[in-house]
Amino acid sequence: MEPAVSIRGLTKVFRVPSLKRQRVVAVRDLSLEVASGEIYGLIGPNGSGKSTTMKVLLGLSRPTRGSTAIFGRDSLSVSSRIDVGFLPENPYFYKFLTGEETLHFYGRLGGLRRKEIRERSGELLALVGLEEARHRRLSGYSKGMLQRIGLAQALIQRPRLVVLDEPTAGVDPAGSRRIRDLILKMRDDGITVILSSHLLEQVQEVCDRVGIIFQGELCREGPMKDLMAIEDQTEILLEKASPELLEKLKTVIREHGDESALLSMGHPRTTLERLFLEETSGKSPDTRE
Amino acid sequence: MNPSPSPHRLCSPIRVWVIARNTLTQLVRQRAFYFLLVFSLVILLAAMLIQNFTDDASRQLKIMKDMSFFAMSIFCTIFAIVATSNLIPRDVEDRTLYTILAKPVPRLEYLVGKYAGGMLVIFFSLAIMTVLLYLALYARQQALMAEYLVVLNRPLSPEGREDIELILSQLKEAGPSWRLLTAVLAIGLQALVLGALTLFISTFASSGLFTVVVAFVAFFVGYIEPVVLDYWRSSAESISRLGSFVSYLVELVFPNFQTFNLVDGVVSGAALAKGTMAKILSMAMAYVGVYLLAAYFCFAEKEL
Ligand SMILES: Nc1ncnc2c1ncn2[C@@H]1O[C@H](COP(=O)(O)OP(=O)(O)OP(=O)(O)O)[C@@H](O)[C@H]1O
Ligand SMILES: [Mg+2]
Repeated sequence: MEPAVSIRGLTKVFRVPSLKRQRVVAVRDLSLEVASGEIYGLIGPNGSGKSTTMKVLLGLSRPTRGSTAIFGRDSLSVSSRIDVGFLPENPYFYKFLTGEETLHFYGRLGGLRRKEIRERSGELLALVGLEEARHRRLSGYSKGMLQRIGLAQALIQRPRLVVLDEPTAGVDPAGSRRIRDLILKMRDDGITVILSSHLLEQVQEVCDRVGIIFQGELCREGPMKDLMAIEDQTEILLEKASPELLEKLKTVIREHGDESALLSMGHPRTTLERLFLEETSGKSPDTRE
Repeated sequence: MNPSPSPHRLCSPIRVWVIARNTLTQLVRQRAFYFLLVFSLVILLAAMLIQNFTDDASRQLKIMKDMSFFAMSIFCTIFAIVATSNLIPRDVEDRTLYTILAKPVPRLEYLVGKYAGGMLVIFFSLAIMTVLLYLALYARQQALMAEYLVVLNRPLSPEGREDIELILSQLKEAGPSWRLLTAVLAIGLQALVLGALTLFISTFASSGLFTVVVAFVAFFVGYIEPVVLDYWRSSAESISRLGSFVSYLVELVFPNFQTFNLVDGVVSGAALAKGTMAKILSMAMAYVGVYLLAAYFCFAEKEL
């Protein structure tokens, strides 16, 4: 089957306007493929080239070398964008439109008819939880609401591929859970997703495959499971263990004699996110509905 | 599974219209129309105050027309430059453009849509102003004529009667007429050209201020160019090849904005030379086409 996204040998060089004609290599010879139906996470430090890669993929920026394609259509052609939804980082829409008008605008640009848009925007506003705010202008939206209307906007014409640049940046943990659930729902609907994020735990939770990009180069890539497993280590989790039991265990390990060694022992660390959610909603974040 | 995507149309008037309407909404909700309020106040105030300036009845109407046309040109010129200068840079800066161009929207459609939206505002504004002008002019004309008709019913000397009848016929002439529309149309066409020029400059300018300043300078050059060039050509003893080439180039690049000034002729009642409208119409279309094409070439390759 045709890959949803294929990036071949992409290099992007920016000329920085200055006296010395400096150049910035934002992306260097990057190749990757995302199969249809997959959720792909692009992670890396600030300035490593994630957004640039996405912009080239969407034809907003021209590749210096190499090529990118969406479902086999080159990104330079307008028709490659029929099947894509894009949520840019820190999205910003027309402030003077209401939530509903925003969806109407993008729906029309995506080629939908009025009637289809009416149905679809009702559906999407409910999906992202903005039904109450549908008649309010975006100038009065909070950051999280903007992010969610952006997500709805990306999905309006039922694209087969959704590109999300830091979809949970600036969103509170509950909202960010919600976005995560939406992404998982997209996977159930057979939509391919490529996203970038700094929240590694979230990436870990939703992505099938990740690529780690550093200084414009893809330095590691693979299925989530493979990347996360540290094959030669084992974690033991105990409850209500007495100090004597722990001492005993240590002795057993020491006396076992072979190469095994105790690396650490202590209370398992809870993540800040988990803690915050438990404190603020009073229920374990794992009980997803 | 998803249905296979419908074939994409290379140019869709629907998308251009959607963008144009969105731009119209933007400009309306930004209250650019407050200009209009000021304008209509100017006309109405003028209509009320003018009777104190002059006793010549038809002159009152002439001054009213002059003032209104002046206000229209000022409005259209400033609006065409200032509002258009910001349309695209703003979307680029706010990154709204990312989401728009991430939909299957060719850049040309976006550009034309934005331009059309800005020009629609000018169209509607001019329409409203014209209606206001006609109404004010009609009301004033009727009031003045009524005054003189009353005088006419009194016993008068034959010369006096003749005088009054002359004034009445002048008043009839000076009232609202179709001819005024040609001046309005010319003002609108000039705004179309200025808008396209400004849009073009804004695609490569580094700042909004730069765009506005350059557009105004271009307007000014286009406005004084015929006078200056005529003077130069008639006064210089011999003109070098280079000189004449440069002067033609200036004439070509900067539209002669005097061509669009029909106000003086129309207000004074002189007949329009035959073919004038066709000439300015074709000239405007040609410049708009060229500027939009130039804007597209700058914008098509732009890094966002
Ligand atoms: N328009 C531009 N002109 C010049 N340099 C640019 C431009 N856009 C990006 N860069 C440079 O390219 C590099 C990659 O930027 P990019 O925005 O892709 O990073 P990123 O991985 O998305 O970072 P972040 O996590 O902060 O969003 C940076 O060094 C940046 O300075
Ligand atoms: Mg980024």
